[in-house]
Amino acid sequence: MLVTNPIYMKILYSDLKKYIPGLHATPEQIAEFYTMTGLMLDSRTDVSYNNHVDTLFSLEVRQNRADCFCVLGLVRELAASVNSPIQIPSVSEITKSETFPNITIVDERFVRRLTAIQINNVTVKQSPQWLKEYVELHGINSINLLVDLSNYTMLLTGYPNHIFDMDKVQGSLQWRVSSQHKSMITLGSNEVQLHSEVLTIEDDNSPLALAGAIGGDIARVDENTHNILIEVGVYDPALVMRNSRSLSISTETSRRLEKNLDPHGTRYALELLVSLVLQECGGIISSEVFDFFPGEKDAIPEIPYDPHLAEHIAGVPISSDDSLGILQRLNFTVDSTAIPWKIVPPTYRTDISIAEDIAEEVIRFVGYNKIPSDEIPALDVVTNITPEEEILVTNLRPILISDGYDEILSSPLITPAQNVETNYAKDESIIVENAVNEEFTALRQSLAAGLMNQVTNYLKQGISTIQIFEIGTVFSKKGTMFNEKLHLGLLHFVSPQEQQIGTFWLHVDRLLKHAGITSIDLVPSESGQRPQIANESSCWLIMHNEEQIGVIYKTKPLWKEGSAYIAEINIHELIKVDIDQNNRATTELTQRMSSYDINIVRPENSNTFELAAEIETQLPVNSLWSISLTDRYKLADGKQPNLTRYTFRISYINLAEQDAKLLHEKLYTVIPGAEQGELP
Amino acid sequence: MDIDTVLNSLIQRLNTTNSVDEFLKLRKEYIGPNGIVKQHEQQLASLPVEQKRIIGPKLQQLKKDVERVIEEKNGELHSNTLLKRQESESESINFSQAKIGHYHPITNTISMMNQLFIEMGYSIMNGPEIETDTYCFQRLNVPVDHPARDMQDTIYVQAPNILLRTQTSSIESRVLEEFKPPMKVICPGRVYRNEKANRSNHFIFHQYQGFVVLPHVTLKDLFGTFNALFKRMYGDDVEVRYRNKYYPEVEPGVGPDMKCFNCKGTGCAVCKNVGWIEMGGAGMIHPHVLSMAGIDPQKWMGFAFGLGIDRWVMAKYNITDIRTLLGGNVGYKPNLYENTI
Ligand SMILES: [Zn+2]
Repeated sequence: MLVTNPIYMKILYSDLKKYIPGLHATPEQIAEFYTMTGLMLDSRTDVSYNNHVDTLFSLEVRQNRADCFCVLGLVRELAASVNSPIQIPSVSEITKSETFPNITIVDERFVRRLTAIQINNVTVKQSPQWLKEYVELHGINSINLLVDLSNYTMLLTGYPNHIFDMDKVQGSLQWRVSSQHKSMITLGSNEVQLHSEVLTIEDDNSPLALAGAIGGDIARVDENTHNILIEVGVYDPALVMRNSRSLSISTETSRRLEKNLDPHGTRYALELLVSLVLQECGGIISSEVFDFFPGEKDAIPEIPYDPHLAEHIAGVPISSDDSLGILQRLNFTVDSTAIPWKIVPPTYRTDISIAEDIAEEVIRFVGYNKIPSDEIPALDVVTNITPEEEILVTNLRPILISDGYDEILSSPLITPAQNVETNYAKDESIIVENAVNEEFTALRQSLAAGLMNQVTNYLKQGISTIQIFEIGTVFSKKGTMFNEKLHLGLLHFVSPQEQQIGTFWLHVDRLLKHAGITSIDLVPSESGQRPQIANESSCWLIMHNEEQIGVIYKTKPLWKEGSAYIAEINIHELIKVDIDQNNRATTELTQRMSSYDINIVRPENSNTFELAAEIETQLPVNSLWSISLTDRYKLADGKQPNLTRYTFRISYINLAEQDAKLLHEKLYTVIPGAEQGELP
Repeated sequence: MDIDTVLNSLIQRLNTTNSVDEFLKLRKEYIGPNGIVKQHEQQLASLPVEQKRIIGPKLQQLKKDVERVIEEKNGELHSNTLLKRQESESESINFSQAKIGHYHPITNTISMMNQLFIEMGYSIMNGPEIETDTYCFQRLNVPVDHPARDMQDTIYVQAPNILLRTQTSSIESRVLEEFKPPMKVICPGRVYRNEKANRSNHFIFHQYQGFVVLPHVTLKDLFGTFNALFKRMYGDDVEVRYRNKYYPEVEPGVGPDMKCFNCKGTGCAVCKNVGWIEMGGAGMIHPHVLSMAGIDPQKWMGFAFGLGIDRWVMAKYNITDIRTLLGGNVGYKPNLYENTI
């Protein structure tokens, strides 16, 4: 699920009581109601407002509820719950006038509605104390009476508006994208570079405001303002969002207008602000209301709704009567004469478009707490589609753990240099475009970098017994193809005198065998096949059927305390290897076991596991029980000073003694340097 | 201290002494350079001759006795510790074994969760970490201009279409498209967010996603599944509440909260004083999400959930810095009797 940055709206307890006269709920009950129905309580604080003790709620508003970024929207939600009528602030009728404000909408397609009106002869006094307190409690600085009233109206209705000082405007006001101007000075004196997609409000000479974002400095209102134009507009929300992001301007205005705000409510917001201005600042209305509303006649689509949908989704009975009551309280128009019902949501509910949206309204008002949660559901049995790779990883982990390896997880973002040092494949590294940290810009091509970082960390802390592994994704590209592979990385840190790579390989080999993977070979690496950090003479490619599936090496002495053995295996490749189920299978025993020795003379320090494997390949899987090294004797006859005699004991099963002996004796002829061993 | 009571008080005090430290203090108090015996010797020097004759031998005897009982106690203590050490050695021989490794706490938590869902018949799926805008956003009902989108929050491999996935729901959108319902799937995974790393936020974190698509499932099934998970992770006493919450990919949406494990609901710093901790998001899969994946929403319904794992893990393992979890200083304490042979 997407984690998004939460957005909050504040509301006073006294406002709720003012606009819902019948409200008796306590602040606790109100907080609980909002939280459970989708507007989670962020905080509840006791404040002083208008000489009274009050409670200020801060609520996390759902991203799709444009109607809830305002006091009246939150009031409507609560009123529906307590089933009590609301009383919204009344507005005085705007007197008719002959003239219209001088407005041109150049780019109409981005303007969903624009209302505007001119008022002359206002007096900009100090804001009354209650107004100052109000806007500041809601997180907005008090500026002057006009600006405070403008913000107050936005807080109440959710519709941002803007007031221009008309004595500073030259000619007509134009709404346009693709301004001729290069930049604009905003309120707060920041210079903004305009580009071809910015919606501006301009006069004949200069840009005056970024519509949907912020006003400009030139036509701002101040204490000396007398003649004003008020506009309330609703624009294309996508354009507002793109403008806000490209200009890095996020304001109370843009946050509201980038949501899907209902253009129908614009007129009330304008009328409310006009009433407040006339009341607080005086002045006379000096124009007709300019009202551009291309979508006015668009019908709101009727949604067919089966009243059983809510209980079908919730899993608990919900009666049609309950559904109907809830929807009516939420101001939905419901025609319930036939099934499906025909439902028209109120225009401000721009979040409602399908039947499931309506069902959610019903269920959240019935209450999620009415749905029992203590029954483990008996869901249908379905086919298991878990990929093999996932099963293999699940099997590998416990083997590594029991072998003494600690699991680590490291960041897939590393430095480009670390990729160069640790990569062993012939593909390109991927650099991300906007890395969080400018140092770690590359997606890892190998797990070795993360494992080595952990070694460095551990050594710093004085920990030197280090056996670690990581199972994780590595990334690369070939041309325009991006590749991801699941790798297993294994690291064993050793002091200079400890261990040999053979012992480390034994771990890796045993791990693979446990997982049922037997037919793996090692071949010495050639230059170009080794990671840079590998010691040239201790690096092998792990092969299966001519395909490289991994690499095993000793690092160069990168730490003063010692070196590390690293093995890295591509798990995607591993699952292509035929996993030998017989290797783990039980066997039926039909004959007494018989054991014979074989001596093999080979150069000193031969790899005994390779020798054992050599024997193994010559014997039928079903007859072989075990091969073990029982003796190692350095031949000192002077002629061949570097030879060693290795004695293996081979145990045969399910063969008559004679047959086992025949099979064993055949080995003397096929294995170079083999000779008969003593019979036990 | 009267010379006649010195020995008895010492014996009494020694009898109640079992620790070496305490014993060493007592020894210093009695026979140290400024100890009680020494003080008596110094006082003796200033006494008249007659008294010296009486007290002198007494003091000699006392000194011998004090040293004797102290030596006895020393031996007793010494053999006790020795015995203990031997005991512990013999235990360690019994228990010693080769080093056993450890799961990473994140993987461990995922495995525990997986176990439950495997028991309930879910498949485990994974998907690419480099994703396209289509699968990471659009198929989850977040079109290009959706307000829930924050471009700044996304790490891009090749803007605007190729990115590091910001949510494991991207696996869901791929599985929905690739496989035919019915299905029950979980998909744990790593996700990325363009955010500076600090103690409590990281640009890499882990989510645990799950979803089912069946002919009929309900919110009640979702809540029951969630409760089973919370009980498995936190025990039967865990208290969970479900509230309405918005996610574009579900309708209706659900926010599951767990009663704060720290304050039990009364409010504290862990739960930001609300008594509950948000555990992620869930809901019924939005019909558009199904139809975009080619599944008929008239025939199939689904629920989906996604949880952040990192905070659970931090709380459970008492880790205070989230960076510890990723290539940081996550330390694995060895087993107590490790490597003692
Ligand atoms: Zn708490």
